[in-house]
Amino acid sequence: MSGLLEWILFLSLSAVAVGMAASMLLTMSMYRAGLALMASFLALAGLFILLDADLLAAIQVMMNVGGMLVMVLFMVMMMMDPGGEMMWEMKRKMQLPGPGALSMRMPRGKPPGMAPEGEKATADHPQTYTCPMHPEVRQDRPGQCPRCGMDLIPIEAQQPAQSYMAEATTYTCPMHPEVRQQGPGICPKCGMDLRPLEETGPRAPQPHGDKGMGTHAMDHGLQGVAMARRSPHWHDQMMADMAMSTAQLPWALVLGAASALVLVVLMIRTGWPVSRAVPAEDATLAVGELLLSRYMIGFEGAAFLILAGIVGAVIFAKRERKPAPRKAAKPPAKVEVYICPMHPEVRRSEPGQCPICGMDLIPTEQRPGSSHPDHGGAP
Amino acid sequence: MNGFSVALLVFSGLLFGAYSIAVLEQLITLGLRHLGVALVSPLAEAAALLRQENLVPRGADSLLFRSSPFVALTAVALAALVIPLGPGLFGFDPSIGLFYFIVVLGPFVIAMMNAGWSQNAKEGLFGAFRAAAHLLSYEVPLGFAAIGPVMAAESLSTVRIIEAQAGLWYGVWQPLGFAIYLVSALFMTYRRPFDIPQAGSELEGGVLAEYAGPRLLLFSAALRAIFFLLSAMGVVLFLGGWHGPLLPGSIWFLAKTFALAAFLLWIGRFLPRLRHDQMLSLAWKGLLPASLINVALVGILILIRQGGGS
Amino acid sequence: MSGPGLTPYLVVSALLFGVGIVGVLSQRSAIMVLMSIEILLNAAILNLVAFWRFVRPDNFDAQVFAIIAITIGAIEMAAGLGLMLLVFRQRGSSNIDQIQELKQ
Repeated sequence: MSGLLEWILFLSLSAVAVGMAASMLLTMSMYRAGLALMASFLALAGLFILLDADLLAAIQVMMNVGGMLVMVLFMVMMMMDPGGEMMWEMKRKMQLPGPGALSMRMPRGKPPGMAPEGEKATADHPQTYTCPMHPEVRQDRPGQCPRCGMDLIPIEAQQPAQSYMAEATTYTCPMHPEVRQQGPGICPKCGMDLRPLEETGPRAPQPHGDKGMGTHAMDHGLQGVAMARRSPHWHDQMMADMAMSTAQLPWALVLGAASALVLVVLMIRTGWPVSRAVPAEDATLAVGELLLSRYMIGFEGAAFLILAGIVGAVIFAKRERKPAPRKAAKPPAKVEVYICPMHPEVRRSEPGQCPICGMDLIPTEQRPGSSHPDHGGAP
Repeated sequence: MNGFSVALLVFSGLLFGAYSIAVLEQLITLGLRHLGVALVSPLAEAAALLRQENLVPRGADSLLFRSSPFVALTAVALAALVIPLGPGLFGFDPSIGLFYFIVVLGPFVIAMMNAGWSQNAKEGLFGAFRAAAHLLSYEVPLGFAAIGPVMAAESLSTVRIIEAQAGLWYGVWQPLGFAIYLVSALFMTYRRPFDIPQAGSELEGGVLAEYAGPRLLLFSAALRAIFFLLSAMGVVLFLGGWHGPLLPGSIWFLAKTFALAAFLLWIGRFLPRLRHDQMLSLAWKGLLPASLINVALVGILILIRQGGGS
Repeated sequence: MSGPGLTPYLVVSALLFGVGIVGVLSQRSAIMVLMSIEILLNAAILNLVAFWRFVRPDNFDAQVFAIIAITIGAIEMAAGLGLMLLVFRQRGSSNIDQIQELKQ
């Protein structure tokens, strides 16, 4: 192909490759980060095609499509806000700085001092610290939440002067209806002013599981948060918790730029022994022959390891199936009922297989309202 | 013919293939008497979809939502370039044609996953996970099943594989490989018994639940086009491609493709829909050992034929 | 004009390497760190292929090297994800700043 076309293709593919890799670090949506990386690697495969390495390009595409897919799946599993939508909404409604789609950085410098009435832990108002995401976590000193690692914030003390009328009504947070207290104050989770019970909006459904805040609730609550009194410290905390990069980002940028610069200078200045030859053979045949002759040891080693892995998995899998020693340790008062995740009407008192679908029965504790298996099964 | 017109021709051939698969679907369910209805109803359905409102759900990841149908169509169009309709009638013939075909269809599954994810809805999310499970299930057995013809023809190029079948079709002496390929093809195109990620009655459409209007039309076209492509590749690999007496090669090719597609659609009516965990067990505990056995068998047969022949 | 020679490809791979370094050092989630390691690996593989094409295109050992490197990248990603899954099950969070128990 002509030189100019090759240059155009090279420049656009390189721009996509480097740009997408950088945007992986900038985006707030984890899913898009995985896709951005996939796009970057596909652009690299395009560069391989320009370099006459078609077989390598195909292998690169195949490995990376599958690999990044698995990465994306893990991210969706493990992160609280994989689509970035919660953070996007929060940024918009709470008017945090930065364009909407970009991820947030850790705030720089020391966090501003907390409001004076919040700091002091006196005998009358013992200062309890809680986690904004996990209100059940309470402790007496500041630190990290053991569940999610966020910094604990103080539950701000109630206003001392209150009429006894105010004390009698229950106050709750519009965004967190489970927060209730007898007098006015601040919601320990989000810092909003509590409102008397009859004024709160429609109850938001409890979020299912630990892993996400219902966006419905956020929607109603965030307008309030934007207007509620919030301390600079709390604001700082929210930014810190939503950031995707650690506080070392400036150092990382410096090191990254320095290493790229050093490498570029080294690449340009070294005199590489460039040859003018053109690849003549069919790469597939040549690579195949090499793999079969010189690098056969690699296949043999891989086959051995796979075999060892399968044998080990089979051997160790059998041992886990014996529940008898574990059952003996349990107090006999607890009745273990085993149900099938797909067919909860199937109940056995010992583990086994569901007669309807053949799946393994899982233990569940006998409770009056029997547990709804939270599993993505058939609706 | 320059590259652009070739690409255009291939793309229009692909759309025709998608249309014919839709016709076949109607014929299979209605019976051969209703040929007129079967020919018209895909066009009517397309017109109805075009008139529908082109909505984007609230909270959807709009970039992914809008781009998924196009990514799916692009993947399918790129894969169509290597299918030879007749001697000399193909888009382009790289030496790694078959490998290229399998690899380029990977982003199709990614497009389905993006579609499911970007809808901001439960059904879409579950459908996306199941589509990912599909990709993991079919990729390895498909590769192994396709290795049989590659070993026999000693080339990855689709044209060479067809030319090497001038004597005996590969489907005849590699029945296990053929069967595994057909099962993998059903996986790849989300047909019964493997249509969990986008079935109508399960999860209300799965990955396509929130799609409506022209975007749904694009997706339907892409799904039917990929079914057409996989039937065509099955013909290339196992049913002798364009070889056949009397009639020109491309007629034979199309006839065989339609026959294979009709067969796949027909058996889908008799098989129950598999749940996703049953699907995964089938793929990893059934298809994978079977495909390994197939590779061993085909290798032995090739050595016997070579030893007995010239 | 002729197409790009060796040096432009090397520059691209150096830039990618820099992006990978930034990612590894600055991301909070373990999975993002793993993905940045993948970027580093792919930058090195691009280097390898560029050298194959412009320095020794008749010797296909370099392509075999690249294939092995890509495979190792996939394997290392699988192992890393398995580790992260176990860590996540223990703690409920993927914040790597918390994984400090070995450091006393």
